[in-house]
Amino acid sequence: MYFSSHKTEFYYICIILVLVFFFDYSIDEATMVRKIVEDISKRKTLKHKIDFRNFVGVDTHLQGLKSLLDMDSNNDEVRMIGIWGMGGIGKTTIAKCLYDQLSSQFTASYFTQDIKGIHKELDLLHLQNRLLYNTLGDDIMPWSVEAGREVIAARLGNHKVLLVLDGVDKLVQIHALAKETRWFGRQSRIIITTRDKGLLNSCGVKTIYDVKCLDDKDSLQMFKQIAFEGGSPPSVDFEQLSIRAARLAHGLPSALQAYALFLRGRANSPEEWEEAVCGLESTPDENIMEILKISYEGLAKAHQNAFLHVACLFNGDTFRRVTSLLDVSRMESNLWMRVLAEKSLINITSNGYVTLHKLVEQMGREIMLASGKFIGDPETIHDTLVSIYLILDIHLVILQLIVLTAIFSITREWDKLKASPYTYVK
Amino acid sequence: MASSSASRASSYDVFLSFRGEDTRHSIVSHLYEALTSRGIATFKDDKRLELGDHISEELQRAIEGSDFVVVVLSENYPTSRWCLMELQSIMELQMEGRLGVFPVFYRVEPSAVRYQLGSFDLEGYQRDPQMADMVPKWRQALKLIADLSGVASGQWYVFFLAQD
Repeated sequence: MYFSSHKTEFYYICIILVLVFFFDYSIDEATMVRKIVEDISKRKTLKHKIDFRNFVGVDTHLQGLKSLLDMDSNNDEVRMIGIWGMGGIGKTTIAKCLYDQLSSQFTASYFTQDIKGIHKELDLLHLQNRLLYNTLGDDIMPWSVEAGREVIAARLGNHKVLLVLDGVDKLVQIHALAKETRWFGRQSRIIITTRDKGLLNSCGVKTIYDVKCLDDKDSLQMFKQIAFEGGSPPSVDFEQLSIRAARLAHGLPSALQAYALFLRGRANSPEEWEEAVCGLESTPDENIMEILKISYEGLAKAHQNAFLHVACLFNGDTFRRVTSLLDVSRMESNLWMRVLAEKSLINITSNGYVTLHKLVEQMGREIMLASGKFIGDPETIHDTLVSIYLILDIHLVILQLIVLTAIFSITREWDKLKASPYTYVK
Repeated sequence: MASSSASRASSYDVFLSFRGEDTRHSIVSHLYEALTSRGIATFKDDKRLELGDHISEELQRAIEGSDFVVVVLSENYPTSRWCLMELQSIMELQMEGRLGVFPVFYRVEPSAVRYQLGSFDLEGYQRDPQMADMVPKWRQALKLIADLSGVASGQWYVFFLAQD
């Protein structure tokens, strides 16, 4: 009895020992297995999330960008490039696609989500923390932006990094995350998407990819791909309406997408579609207007005014005429126009014309109307104001004539005065 | 619309590369379980045909058709030349950016792999005239995978027994 109880104890101890023994490392192994599986499934979702088949022309953009990035070169230099274009043109989509295809060639990569508007120290610190966490897995919270820079430079200097800064609108954002190319290891690539070319210039980014609007053919193709299952309209009526609807977007991919999705659910009868298209023709999509307005709201007061003038009055005028009619010195108005062009609100063509994207022009007029400075239909306002300016132009000539006549008559009077000094004395 | 590399049809998400006798009944079976239970299509080659001078076409296709490879480097991994041939072709694809590689150092030191010490010493193969010309490529592949442990975004793993 005594012996057997000892034996039982011995067994217990053995079992416990074995348990401890197994438990100890099976936890380690289990943890590791879990971590591997988590990492793989995280990487896997990153890999398969993106489906850009609906964005027509993205391949051409990617080709252009890849040649700018010069991925195959054996050169060790770090490259920083900018993707520049107006709101809604697809900069983020293009950057995501690029990141999706290239990130596996880098030892560390990170795509910031849209960082528009971020400028407070605490938020910048958070951005730095995210960058370090997503590239190295280190949860470091720097105590100051300057300290954060040091950490980034020290830790990422040995890595081939792919970093995308998306929606940059302030210099501090670039300064916090990628102020200098030497922070990053050999062959790293930094991509900045922005609406503001001036920003790229001021941080020394020389390679800039300019994203242009889609042409009519591509617009229609993209519209149809989203609006109809399989990409082809069910009847000729729908084909015609598609052309009308696609034109409203003026080559802006996000507008095309919004319109196509709006109409997609209404594919029952051409009549219903026609109504909807008419609706779009009279009132543009609100979301698109909001996207475009962001650029306007980021402007200084004086630039806002200049933009509104251009949007309401001068779309399609020559650069010289626009700058001469703004209510400031020629030099200053030249500068203003350059700022608006850098912020991709207006476009100054190589042959000297100022043009606005139709939707941007519409946005400007909406702002003008909402401000209550004018009451009435924007078209009439435009016409009236143009005629006012024309009249002013004519007036200038008349004024000059009047002045000349006046001078002439004064001289004559003066002669008379000299002739009889007492004429005007009462 | 997507480029050829993105539209490549992957038949597997993950390919497991391992030396059966060291790991089949431990880490590899756990990994396989965990991956498949998460809905991740995983290729595990159980009945490897160790014949000839090349890895089988089926195996090569499975590697090329995968998005990721988990390489479990264990003590006896390099004693199989088929494992080494497999590793060579994995690292070539990794260099082209077509594969994500997750090295697991299973009871071996990353430095032993990098500097090819102990069982990772390939001198034995060097003496075999049939394989001597392949050895430099294997050395290169071992160095590359060990280098992944020096960099990368924390996606490499070292595992030792508690009492080691």
